[in-house]
Amino acid sequence: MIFKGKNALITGGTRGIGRAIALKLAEEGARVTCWYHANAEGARITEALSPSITTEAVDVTRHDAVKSALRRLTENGCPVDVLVHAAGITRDVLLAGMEDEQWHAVLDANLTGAYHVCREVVREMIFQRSGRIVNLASLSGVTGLPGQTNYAASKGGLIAFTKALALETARYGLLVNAVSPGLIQTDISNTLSEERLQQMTAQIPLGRAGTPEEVAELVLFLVSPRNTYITGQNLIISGGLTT
Amino acid sequence: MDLKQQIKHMIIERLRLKITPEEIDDEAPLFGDGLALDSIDALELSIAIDKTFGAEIKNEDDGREAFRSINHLAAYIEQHRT
Repeated sequence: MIFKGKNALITGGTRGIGRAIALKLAEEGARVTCWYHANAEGARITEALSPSITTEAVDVTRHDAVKSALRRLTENGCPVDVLVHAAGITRDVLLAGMEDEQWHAVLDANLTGAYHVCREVVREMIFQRSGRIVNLASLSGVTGLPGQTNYAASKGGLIAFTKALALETARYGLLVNAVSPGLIQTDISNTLSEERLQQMTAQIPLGRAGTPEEVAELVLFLVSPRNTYITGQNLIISGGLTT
Repeated sequence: MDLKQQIKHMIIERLRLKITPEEIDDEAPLFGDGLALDSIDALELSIAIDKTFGAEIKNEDDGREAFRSINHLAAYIEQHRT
């Protein structure tokens, strides 16, 4: 119960990797709040997993919505000790055929959303002089993937954002890191074609896609009191796909 | 305790200054000369003012005005308190 007495906020916490992180945090004693955008069914399922998990619909692309939702948390006696920003979307398309909406939707959710959430949470954490943040990025943000110029830009931006934020907040004792998963079995990877999935799996040295639980283990360590000296890093979890 | 005294106590506590409230002049600048605080102190201070007094310092212009002295800061808080 290493997170006993701690409050955690997970954006994008009602599906995929975010949900796996929420569940593990709850199992380790944390009080977990999961924000989601439109996935009401996922929210119902996630809340049913543990009495320590509550969910709330918050659109992270709206700064005012983020601000007031956080204020409610703090006023209810749940100042955020741990933030995991896992909210993210894809709109895969080759750049030459990309529509403005596909560009902006991805950048807004993945990068501007992180700005909104981190800005407000960091103000709390600086005041408390402690806190742990993990931003969920992607291998795509490191190596790029065809069809994902928007997604790669958002995640690459998120990695750089994370590094700068870590440098800004180290003096207050905050630890801020990014985690970049490779191919993981989630709704996002399910949008890939069977053929593309097989092709990608064949390139992974460990010979399979990862699971959300495997990513959650890494994130849990980074936000736990066991991590005392890792900050400003981007940790890649990809089954050896990149070395 | 009046507002100016509260502000002085808060500044000393948050920034762990090794001085007493009496040593802070109401008219002296908080940054540069005076207390010689830096921009990162300003960030922490502005957050603490928001949390303690409910007055948000939204940007650098607000900060420049508010942090001119203890007198200015007290006036700013009175004006922007929610």
